[in-house]
Amino acid sequence: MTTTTEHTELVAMLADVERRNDGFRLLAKQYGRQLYWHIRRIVVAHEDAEDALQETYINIWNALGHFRGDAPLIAWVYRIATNEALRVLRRKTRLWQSVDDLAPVLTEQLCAQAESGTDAEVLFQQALLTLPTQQRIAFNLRYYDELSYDDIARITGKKPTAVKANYHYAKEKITRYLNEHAL
Amino acid sequence: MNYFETIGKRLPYRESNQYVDRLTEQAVEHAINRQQAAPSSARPRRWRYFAAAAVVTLLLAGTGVTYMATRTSPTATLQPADAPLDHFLNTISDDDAMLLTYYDVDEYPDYYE
Repeated sequence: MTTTTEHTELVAMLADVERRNDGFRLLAKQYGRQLYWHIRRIVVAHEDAEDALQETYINIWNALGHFRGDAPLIAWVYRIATNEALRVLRRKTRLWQSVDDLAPVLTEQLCAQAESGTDAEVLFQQALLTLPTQQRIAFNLRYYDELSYDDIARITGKKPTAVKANYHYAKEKITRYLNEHAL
Repeated sequence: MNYFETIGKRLPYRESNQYVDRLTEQAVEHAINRQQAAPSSARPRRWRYFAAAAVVTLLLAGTGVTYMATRTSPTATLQPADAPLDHFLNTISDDDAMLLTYYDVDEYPDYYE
């Protein structure tokens, strides 16, 4: 987690055309792993995560000139990453199908790619995939990335109170699913 | 059982942090080099949009003009009146034409020339 000073310095580098390349590389170094795993938790398949990650960095680079620094940088980059992950999911949907209907497809990909996980870890991810996509994203951002409800609200475009409610409903649903499918 | 404490934040995937770091580095360099290699790449795309919009506008305009030019008045579909009966009817007044409807066809006066 970056300090306020480091964050200010990074924002300054990104705003300066001369130092933007270095600032961009530093941003990727600080948030790279978080962004990859955030995307991966949404799209499940590694190939899709790679695709979305590539587009995320292209979009971040293209939008750096417009970033005013009024919102936290982390919320800004996460929002771009989330949009790219959702774009990848939407490509998999058929006409009139919602991304929420992709749960069976994503579960199949999870089972195919979960090579090093325990049964409990796989079951946990399966429980997550039963959640509506927006609820799953809110849960991931709070549980795995430990972001504040305000930052999650900025990323998802929902109110902080709605994010909080979504997170707790998600936890209840996951617990219920795991109890029903307990090993 | 508290699953959240037991499972924690572990994910069942095999990709290592080093692998993710390399992937990130490649994505970053690709984004920088892509922009530097083709800074005007947006221009051809914009011209395509303008060209497409112009083609659509011309098509719509052409369709409208064609419609207006070939549109006919309701009376234009009527057959030209050149039969002897038509000549006759054109010469009599409306009142006389109305009177004709009271006659049986065999009682029509012989007005044909």
